[in-house]
Amino acid sequence: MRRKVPSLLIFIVLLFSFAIPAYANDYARVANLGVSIQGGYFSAANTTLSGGFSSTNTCNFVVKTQWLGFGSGSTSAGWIEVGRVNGATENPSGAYTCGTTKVSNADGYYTAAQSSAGVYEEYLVTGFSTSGTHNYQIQYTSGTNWVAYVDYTSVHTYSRTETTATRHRVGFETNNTSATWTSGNTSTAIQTLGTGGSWSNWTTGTREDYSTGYNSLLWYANFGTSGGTTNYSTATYTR
Amino acid sequence: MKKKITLLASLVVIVSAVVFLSIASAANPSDQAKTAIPRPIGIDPSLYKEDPAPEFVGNTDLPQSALITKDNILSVFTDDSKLKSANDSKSTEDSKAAELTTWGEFEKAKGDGSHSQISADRQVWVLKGSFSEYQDIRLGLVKNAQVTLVFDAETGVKLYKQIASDQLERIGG
Repeated sequence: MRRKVPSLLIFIVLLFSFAIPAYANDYARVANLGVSIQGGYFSAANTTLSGGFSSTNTCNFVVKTQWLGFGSGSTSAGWIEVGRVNGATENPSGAYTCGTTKVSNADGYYTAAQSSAGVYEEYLVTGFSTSGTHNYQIQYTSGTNWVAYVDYTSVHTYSRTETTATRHRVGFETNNTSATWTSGNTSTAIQTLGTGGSWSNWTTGTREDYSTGYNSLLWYANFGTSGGTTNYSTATYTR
Repeated sequence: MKKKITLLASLVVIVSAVVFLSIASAANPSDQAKTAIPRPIGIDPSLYKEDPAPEFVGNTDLPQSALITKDNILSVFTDDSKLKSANDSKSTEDSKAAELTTWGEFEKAKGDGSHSQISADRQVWVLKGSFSEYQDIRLGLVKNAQVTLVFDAETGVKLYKQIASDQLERIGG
């Protein structure tokens, strides 16, 4: 009996450690998983974000974005994302530090990727107004080229060996509970590009938010409704 | 006879012009590619800019005295005690370095992808550091991190970040 209790405890601990998703941040997003696609698109009106950055919360950020993921669910297969960001950014003149890096608060756009196993990359995207409606797109164009667009303008071309992506997600990500939006809590016109060369609105999807097991954010992603039926190409986020 | 020659010459000129114009339009592969790329429903394909003018224009004519200083760039990493030397015989100072170069040279050395918003001849600072533990804004605490930050040398704006680690277990997209 003495020997069985520790074994049982170890089993329970192991069980729960696998049950808890290893997400570093909090998400409220909608998703189409296990697909075979060559592009993703969404539109967002009047998104105004507050990443929760302050003199005492110097690492805080929030993004409203989309992700195109590669591989069969493996994290190491990577992804590409493009969207809006508000929060801490590295800055040689920054008055604050996040960890041991000088930072300041910034508001704008970005594109990022896990380009290969264990490598995260992030690029500044600039030159676009932070008010009004904006459009975000990632699309395979030719060869090894995956292009990230903001407002139909190519901002970065990633090089990847894959010619199809397997996951499309649209929504918010943050690392704190102070982050929020002051306007623009919807994503509309959510579309994917099929391997046949045609774009189409989402006709199905899943929610990935607090209610599905994420941490403490209390943000919810919900699909829109149209004429009493679910409109999967529109998502609304609430908290 | 003279009238016939004039008519014939005019015909040759017209046919040549038509042939030239059709060859010229067929020989522009980028235009052809643009029209071949499918665009989202309801979006006018002519809105797309595949090769926009850079937001950060070339500035190699600027003297180093007009740029952010190397000391300022190195001071971005505020605590050298967190640096990890790859070689125990060297000091941790060796794990932090800043190099002034151009965006084009940086991208060439990096070897993949291309950014549309920064001119190849824009001067940039490339700051690198190796850390046993690094607190990143997006990723949180990353162990055994190789950090690369690229700053615009004229304005100090951060253009690029890379965090590489064999311990990186981020699940994002």
